[in-house]
Amino acid sequence: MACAVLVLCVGCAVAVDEQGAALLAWKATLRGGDALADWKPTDASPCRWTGVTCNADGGVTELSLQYVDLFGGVPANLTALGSTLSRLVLTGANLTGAIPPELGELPALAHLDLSNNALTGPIPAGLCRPGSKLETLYLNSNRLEGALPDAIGNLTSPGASSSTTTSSPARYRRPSAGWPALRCSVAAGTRTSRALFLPRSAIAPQLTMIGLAETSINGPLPASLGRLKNLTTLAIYTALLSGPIPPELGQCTSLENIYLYENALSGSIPAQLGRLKRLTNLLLWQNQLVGIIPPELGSCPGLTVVDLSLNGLTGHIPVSFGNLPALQQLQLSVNKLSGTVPPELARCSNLTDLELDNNQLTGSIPAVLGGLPSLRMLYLWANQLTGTIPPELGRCTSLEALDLSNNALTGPIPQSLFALPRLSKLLLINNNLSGELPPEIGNCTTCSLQYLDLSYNVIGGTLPSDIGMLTSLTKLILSGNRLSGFRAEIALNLSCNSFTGTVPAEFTRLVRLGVLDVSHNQLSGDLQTPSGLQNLVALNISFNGFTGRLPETAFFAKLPASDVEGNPALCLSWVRGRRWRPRARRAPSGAHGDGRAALRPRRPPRVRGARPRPRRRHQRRARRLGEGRQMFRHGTVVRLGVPREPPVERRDRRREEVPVVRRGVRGSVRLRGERAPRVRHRNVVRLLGWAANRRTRLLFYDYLPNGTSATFSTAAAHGRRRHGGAAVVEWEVRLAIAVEYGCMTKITTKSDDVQLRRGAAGDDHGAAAAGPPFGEGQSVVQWVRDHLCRKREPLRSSTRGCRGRPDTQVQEMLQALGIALLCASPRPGGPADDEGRGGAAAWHPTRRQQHRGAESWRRRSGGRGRRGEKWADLKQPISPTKLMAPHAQPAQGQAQGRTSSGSQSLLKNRE
Amino acid sequence: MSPVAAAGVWIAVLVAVVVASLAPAAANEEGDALMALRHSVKDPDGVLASWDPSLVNPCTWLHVTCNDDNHVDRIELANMRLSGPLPPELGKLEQLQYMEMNGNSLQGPIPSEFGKLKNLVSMDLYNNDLSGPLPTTLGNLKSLKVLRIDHNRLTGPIPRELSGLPDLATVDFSSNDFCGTIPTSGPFQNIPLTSFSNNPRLTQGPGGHDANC
Repeated sequence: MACAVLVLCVGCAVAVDEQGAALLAWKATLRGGDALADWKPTDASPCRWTGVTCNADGGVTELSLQYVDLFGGVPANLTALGSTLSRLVLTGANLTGAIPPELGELPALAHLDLSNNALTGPIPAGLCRPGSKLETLYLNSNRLEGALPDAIGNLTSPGASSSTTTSSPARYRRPSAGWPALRCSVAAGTRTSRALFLPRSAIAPQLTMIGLAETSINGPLPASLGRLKNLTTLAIYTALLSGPIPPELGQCTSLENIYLYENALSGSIPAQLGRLKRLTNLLLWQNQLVGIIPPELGSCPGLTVVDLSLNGLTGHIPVSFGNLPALQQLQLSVNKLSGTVPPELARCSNLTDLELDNNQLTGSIPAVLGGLPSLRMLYLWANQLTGTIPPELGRCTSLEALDLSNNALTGPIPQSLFALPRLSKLLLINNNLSGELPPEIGNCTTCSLQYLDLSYNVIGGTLPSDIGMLTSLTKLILSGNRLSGFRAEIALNLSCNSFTGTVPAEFTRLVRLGVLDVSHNQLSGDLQTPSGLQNLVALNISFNGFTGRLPETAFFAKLPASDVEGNPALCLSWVRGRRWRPRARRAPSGAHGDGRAALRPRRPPRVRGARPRPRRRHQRRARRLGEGRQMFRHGTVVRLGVPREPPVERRDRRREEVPVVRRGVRGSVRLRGERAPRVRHRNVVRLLGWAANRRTRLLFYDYLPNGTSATFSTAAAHGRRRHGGAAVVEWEVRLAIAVEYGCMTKITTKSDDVQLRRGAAGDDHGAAAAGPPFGEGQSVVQWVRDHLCRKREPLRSSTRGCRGRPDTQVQEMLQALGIALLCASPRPGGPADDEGRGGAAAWHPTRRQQHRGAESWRRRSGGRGRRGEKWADLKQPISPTKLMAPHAQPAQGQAQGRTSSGSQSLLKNRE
Repeated sequence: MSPVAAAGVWIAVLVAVVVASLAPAAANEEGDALMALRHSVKDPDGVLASWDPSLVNPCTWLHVTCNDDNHVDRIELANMRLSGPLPPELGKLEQLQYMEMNGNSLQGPIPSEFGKLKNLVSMDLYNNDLSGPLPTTLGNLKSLKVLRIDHNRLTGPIPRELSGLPDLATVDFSSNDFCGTIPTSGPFQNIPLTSFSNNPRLTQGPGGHDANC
């Protein structure tokens, strides 16, 4: 203050005029006065100062400082300028403190803009004194609080109605139709904010909009609002307003938009609002309004959106709403409305949203609502509606969501609902709906149904099998019904959808269900329901989110791992006695280290302790999913007994140390190894590949010279006694497997043969013209054969390319090559002619024996006596040279001559 | 030595032990929090391989920087091909100022514990696969200036608590699945609408009650 006085005195001394002195006094209070450097007390007049505009007489008419950092308050004492100052603009100036009430006393002030500062406190009532010439008042984007001054109504100047139609200021677009205009204003940066802004450019200070959304404005709405005859938009939503809505609002005849939602307004909705002929949007949701919905609202012909949700409104839905042709959204959710759904609403032909949920509505759903072609959402849930669902709703072709849950509806579900092309959500939970599900449910190929919940009704009959055809369905809940069975089908395939939740308990009533495939969904919960399906012969629950333990039934114990895999939280429990013994599990990890590889023999398996039960022929045909399940006890260590052979075990894929692979096409024999080699761990026995045909599925592992895990397992004692612990597989058996492996192994970048590929590529590097590029997906055999045709030496070239690689890799590679060489034999009918595994199998005598043996063994479910005979010929070992002799080739000779450690390893185990 | 003096010595020793045991424990807590991140995410390129929990503090770890008090103030893991959820333990990094984890494949929700990062200036989680709602606790991050969470799968309304962040200046919520209306007050007055684009259910201006948001 002392400073100000000093400046004032200096000013006096150099004779700056009174106006300049007042401005300098204000400047002295600012911490950011540098912006006003040219405001010097030595000047006689302030008219040339930054931001100052004078009239011809030297009177300051305008002070305009925008977007400069002044760091101070709004000037309070400008009486020296009062007679002429008409414009005061201090926007974006970092001003703090309160709005001085003295500003209201400036007699000539017409335009006041204090927006975009950090002003606090209330809007002083003094700004709105009677007789004020204030035309525009921008106070937006501050931190103002408190109630709207009741005196705001004074800002209508009855004497100045002559030019009320001039255009709005450029920075604010006059809201003409509610939302879109507001969007524009938001986009322009003049946001509705904590304080009042009353834009009017006309001479007549008549407000067209009050925007105080998302502010801390509190207190009641002043009744004087009713005097704002030009007010079009009242936007004070998400604020702290309380008290009643003033009935005087009904006098704002220009009012188009009332946005007062998310406040604490109480009392009832004034019937006087019915006088607002231009009213378009009435959003009063989430307040504490009580009383009835005034039927007078039905006489606002332009009413488009009415949202009175989340209040405590009582009484009936006014029938007069049927008189609103423009009505698009009627949202009356979560009130205490009673009475019926007025059929007159069907006259609102533009209606898109009708949300009357969570009330106490009674009566039935008017069938005439089916005549609303634009209706997108119909929410009538949580009422007390009775009667049936009118099939006419199926004519609402725009319908996207229909929720009639928690009522007392009866009768069947109209079939027409399932033909609605855009319906994505159909919820009819907890009614008394009966009848059966329409069999056409899955017929609609154009439907977009995503969420279907019919739970807790009395729907009976059978579940249409076509329900799986609803391809867009992500949620299907049918619990709490009386579904009894499955319509004329024994297979239900719901796989590869996005089903969530649990398998409905009703599924247990699907007594005829033989095959259930729910794989590749997002189902959760335990497997109690599927375990109750008595007639199930095949079940695929893979790739879901099932939890809990796998039921310890014989059925689940036999389930292939591929049918339960991909459920990370599912605890795969094993029946004791069939369990993979931990002791045995350790064995392969220790034995794997030396990198020697041979292929584990394939044998027709014999399951000890569990005889396959005979199948009837028709049953066999029906079974696709579970083919071959009877052959092996999955999840168990199966000891395969072969005369004069060491115990050989077949390991279940479900075990954690076995890489997970998906099963191939059912019924065809196919070896897959492409995903397996990617899983590498020192404790993992690497899966080389697997094969499956209609009856058997086999896994191929690296040969473990230190003994098989079977020798450590339960069978060990028995086996050792019988075979003297010499756990070595016969050469020809190994060869049989090797041939198969080589013929089936495709070279892909994903497989381990990428090393092979690299080796070849390294060789071709020097002579690019030597051969075609190493083809992706080409089988090893094909590649080797091609090379042989060109008189090349795959082995040598590959070894050259493999230089510097780890021994194990080289060995693996050479092993594969050795096999490939065998397979490359041009023997008629051999694998070189037929790359399919079937060809390989047919070509190899041993394989044929195996098949026959398996067949005969299976036919006779006991299979005890003749098995020995069938395998008797294996006692005569067939040497590899013998095999190769009839079609010995130079290349093979070379291969053997320069054989590598890999090939040797293959041969070394020969006894 | 008198019994009193002896007792005094013992107390001094005890205090020393307590102090000595507390100091590294506090430092390790930050290391533990970061280890929780390492265990939580998949790291195909091994960018977190240098994170050795046996060190007294994580200040020598790669992609982590500390302030003068040996507290973690930066995590720089942008575009590191990390995938998996964000562990809530990261909320224990009270001195963290910059969280740069954009351009990964992080999944799951943004933990509400992140509201405890009182000193956070910048949270860059854009270009990930995050889902779930934005925790309202982020309204506690009074130092926050930059909040970029665009290009994720985040849902729910934009918490109005964020309107109370005084310094929030750079915000990007675009390309998510937010719903409700765009906040207009506080820092949101100056944030362009493009920061909210590509959120089909997010609307501007006044709107009706959205029961599904």
